[in-house]
Amino acid sequence: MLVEQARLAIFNNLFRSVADEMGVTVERTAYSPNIKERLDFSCALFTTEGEMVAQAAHIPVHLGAMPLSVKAALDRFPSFAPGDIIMLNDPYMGGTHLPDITLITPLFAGDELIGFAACRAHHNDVGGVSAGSMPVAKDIFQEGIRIPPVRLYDAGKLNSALLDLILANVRVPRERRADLYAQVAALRRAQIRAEEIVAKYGVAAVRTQMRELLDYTERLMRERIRRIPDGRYTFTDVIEDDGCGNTDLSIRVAVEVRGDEASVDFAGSAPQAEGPVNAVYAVTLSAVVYCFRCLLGPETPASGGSFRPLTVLAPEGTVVNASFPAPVAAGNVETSQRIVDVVLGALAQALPDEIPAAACGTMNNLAMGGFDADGNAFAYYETMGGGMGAHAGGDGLSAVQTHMTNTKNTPVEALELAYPLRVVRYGIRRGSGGAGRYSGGDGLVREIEVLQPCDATLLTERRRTAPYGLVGGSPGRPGRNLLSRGGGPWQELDSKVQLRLEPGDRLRIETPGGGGYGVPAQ
Amino acid sequence: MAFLPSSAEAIVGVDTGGTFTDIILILPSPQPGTPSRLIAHKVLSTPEDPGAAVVQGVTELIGQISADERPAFTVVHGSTVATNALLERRGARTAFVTTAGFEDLLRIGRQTRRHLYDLRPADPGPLIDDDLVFGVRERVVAPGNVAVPLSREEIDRVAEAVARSGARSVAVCLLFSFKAPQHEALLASALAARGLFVSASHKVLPEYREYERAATTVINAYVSPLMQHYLASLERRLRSAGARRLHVMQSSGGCLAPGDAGELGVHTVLSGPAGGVLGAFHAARMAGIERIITFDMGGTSTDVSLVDGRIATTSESEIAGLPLRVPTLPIHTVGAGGGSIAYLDAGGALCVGPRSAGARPGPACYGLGGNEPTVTDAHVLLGRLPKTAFLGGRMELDEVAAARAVESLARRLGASLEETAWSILQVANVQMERAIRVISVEKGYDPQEFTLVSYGGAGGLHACDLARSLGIPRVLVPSHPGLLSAWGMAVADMVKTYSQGVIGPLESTLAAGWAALRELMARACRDLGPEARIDGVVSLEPAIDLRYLGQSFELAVPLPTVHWRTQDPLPAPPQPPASELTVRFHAAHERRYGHRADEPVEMVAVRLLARCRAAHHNHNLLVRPAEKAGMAKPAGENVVYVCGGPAKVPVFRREELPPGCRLIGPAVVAEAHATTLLNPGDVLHVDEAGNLLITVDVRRT
Repeated sequence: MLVEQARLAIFNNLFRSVADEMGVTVERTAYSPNIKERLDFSCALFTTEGEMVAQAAHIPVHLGAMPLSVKAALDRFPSFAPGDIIMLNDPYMGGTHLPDITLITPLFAGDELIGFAACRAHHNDVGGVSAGSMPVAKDIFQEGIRIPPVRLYDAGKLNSALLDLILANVRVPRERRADLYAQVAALRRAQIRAEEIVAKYGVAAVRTQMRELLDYTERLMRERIRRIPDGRYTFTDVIEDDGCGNTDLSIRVAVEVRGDEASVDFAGSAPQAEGPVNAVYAVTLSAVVYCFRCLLGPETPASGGSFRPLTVLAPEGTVVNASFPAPVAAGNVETSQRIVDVVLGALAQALPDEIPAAACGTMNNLAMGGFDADGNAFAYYETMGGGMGAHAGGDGLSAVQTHMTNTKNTPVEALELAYPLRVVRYGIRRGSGGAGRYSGGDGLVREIEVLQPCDATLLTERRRTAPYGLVGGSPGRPGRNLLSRGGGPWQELDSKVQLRLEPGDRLRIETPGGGGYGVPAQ
Repeated sequence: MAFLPSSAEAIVGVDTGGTFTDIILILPSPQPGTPSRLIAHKVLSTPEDPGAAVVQGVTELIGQISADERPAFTVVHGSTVATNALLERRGARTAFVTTAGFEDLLRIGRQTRRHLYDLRPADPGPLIDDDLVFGVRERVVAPGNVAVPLSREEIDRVAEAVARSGARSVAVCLLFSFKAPQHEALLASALAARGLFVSASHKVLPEYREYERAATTVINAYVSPLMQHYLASLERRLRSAGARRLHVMQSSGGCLAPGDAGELGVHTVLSGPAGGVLGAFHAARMAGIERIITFDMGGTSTDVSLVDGRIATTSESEIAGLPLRVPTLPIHTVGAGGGSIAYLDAGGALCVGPRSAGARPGPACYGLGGNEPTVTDAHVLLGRLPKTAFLGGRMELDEVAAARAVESLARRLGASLEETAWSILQVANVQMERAIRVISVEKGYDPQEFTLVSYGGAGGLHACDLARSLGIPRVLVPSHPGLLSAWGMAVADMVKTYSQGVIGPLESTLAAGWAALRELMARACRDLGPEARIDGVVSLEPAIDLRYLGQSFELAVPLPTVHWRTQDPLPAPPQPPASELTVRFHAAHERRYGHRADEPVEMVAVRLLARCRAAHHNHNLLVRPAEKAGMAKPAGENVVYVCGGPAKVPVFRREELPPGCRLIGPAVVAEAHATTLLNPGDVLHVDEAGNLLITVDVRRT
């Protein structure tokens, strides 16, 4: 009685609900504010070949990168047993940057492998030279502990020696352990749901419907690409500096649309940098997939089928496909935003009514850490929103997370209760959005006073270059990082900087506005 | 104070809906042990002055009783005034006062965007314009001490500026006011002295997280003046119609005196669906069932909720894009209902909703001009909704129009009409199944231990299917499913809720927690003591919010209920030792999240829910003489698609099913505003109260 087209909707709902339930499990059981409060994590389901079947609506930057984690696990291990959990964070073996730890479990129906579930979460600290593990590093060894694909659980049995070793290398082991257990709980949830679904519909149907769903999202993407005028569209923008004195690292893209396929080629982008702005291929892939995903409707399932009509070429050894042992902490959070800017900038030439001007173009990463008055270690990490680009339909939103991230802020009261820090000001940076027929959204201002000596790292962008406007709109105003020592005058800091702060020092982050759209009315 | 039982009063429940205002009158039983009488009435709603329909309906209903039998009565009213004011942005002109440096608190929110993949999001604009936001030079810091004092001059400056702004209402939310409210209190009294309606966050929601507290306070400031005005006028009109008093339904499922509701309008903004859940729980309890999942399927959406033996509330909800942190029944809504439209998307998947044909034109089968295929049309084509059953036969369903609407979709699918219709239903079912999973499985409850209580017009056609796929063994369709919401209001207790943030390690903070709780209990006794007319008892249900140190989600661990008699001295809180609380927290955490941590436990807040009975309701409301009926006789027979194929299925009229009778599915039970469908193997039993109790054959799929 059931038509195939209905089966598609039914299984799409089922698979989505598994991913959603995993997400709820993490949100509820995780420990650190970064995961629980800011929701910096993702959950997804995969086929046995590692194609993504469903992802809960979490963080876009994890979107295209998760399948590569599963691929890395598949490459590393010839076979899996029920109850196995693979852990990894190595950007050169399936990861993106070290704080993102991914856990993967095979899903079994009896002794038959039917797919994988994965959960990636951003951990506040994974060791390395500075608290928060987002240092201005020169190689990956300074960034923290590297975890290649390893079995954290072997057929359901915890490898406690491995866990102990990892926890001995991070600054707040209590938090890491609890956050990892939250990820484990999510994977267990996935296994239980998978068993229920298989019991109801059978293994064959589940396998078939996973494939059908991938084909379905592929059709949707092909249909969408077909409506982009054929042509070759190019765009170039820059990473303004790598924190090590190297400036204006260009990211160049050529988007070529032919019928229902598109190739996105980053040939001509800068060689990989000395500082941590390097993106591994997984990050670049995520950013490209995000851009095309936005062209589909919001209700479209996030499944790997939509990647199929896209070819993403990024020459090895460049800032968009870094090779070992380049540092990569900011590739995920900063370079990914610029990759979006160039891909959308190229697409805007084909679809001027659909693509907005540039958003703030940075996640404004701030990591702080040290010891509180009682001698307990703390690690605080936060990303800040900015202005969204204006578009043909209206102004850009102000003071929001844009493109590759959507993490919540830490409430001022939560922050001050947890850390020896005081927020002096948190507001909208008025007038920072670019002018135009429609104005870009305004950025944010967040000013923090330090109450105990601590280390701070800032990884930011768009402090010297500005988010572009479109169709005659003005660029957004660049951001500023300011420091006042003990109530002294404000001095402007570089976009990427590591500092030692003393009580009474204040940091003030002003985030960029979005670009304007259209010539302003006179 | 002495307790004098009042003479038996009648109670009137009034539910203002979009189209109709439902009214139910429960007359007290003439002597103990005999059933109460229930009279129902329906009038057209009057959206421009909702009170008009209320007064008209109540007057007409009371008029049905002869003058010498007419009892004293209380009216319990579920109002949508606050909800609509917020959704339509028609609230009072409201100012927002906060700590200087944080004026953009409401506009920034949590700095997230609503849709991840929307490059061109529309900006709904702030609830409060920038020129009505005022920063105050003051600062309280985390331990609760003052870092920047609030001067007299600053108070006057701000109060003057707000008064000049033209605002009528003002929300005050300063950082850390939940810990040290003195600055807020000073400002509040200066603002009130200038004639403004003042909502202070330490009164509305004395809990941490400034954005959520501010938003809740602002919602209160925005809706309360309207609510106050509406209730004052309604109360006056009802009194002249003979009512002794008016109570107002809250989102928590309890009712409130109009004075309180006018001060704390934020507590009513999600009260709409609360009556239905309460009525469903009441009906289920009368049938001896304590654990239910409510299923209210309407035209455009479906509301589901879970009640595990007692009405529990959540503090995490939202309305109009703003967080709402007051006790609310945990109701989850999905955009799938009887009017939801089925279509094929660009990738060729069959989708149902969220677009709906609504009430006008409605599904194609209504014959009012609808021409897109809906869930209801699918039911009609599959014989599941008898053509003549609708609105008690007052409206005949147009099968030809339904077929026409589904046909174009069938052609594109390359399938028969029946296959298409069947598939539409399955897609709708999986969405509703997902909704039920959200409120049960995702919260750590096993649906197999619950009874599905179905009400709302379209619910009975899906209830048995859903029960089967979720393994729910039993479905209850209450008698009078269309009046459940008004009924729920009529049986609601009076409820007030209180909370106080008290943050710190459990052991060392416990004493402060007990002191705060004692204070809340004293306030509750003062507030509700005078309302405890029925039996002179105020029930105090305390709870303590605990979490693992450093976590940001807390769990409420309930403490034993204290029953305070109004003539007794003020009660003390139950004070279990920290060790016992810790053990109970670990257990609660494990139940909800599936694991426990070996971590220290932290206190976040104390809470108190205080209730007293508001009505002389009798739990045997609708008992009819029990007949030892056997198998019921059908009124006819239809070809109905059940379990994926056509079958000859008997059709029964619900009013012809006497208590005690049984029937075995497949079967269709039709009544005026609803239809229930039994699958093969399901067994229906009509209980003493006229409820349909269906044992679902969960082994069959």
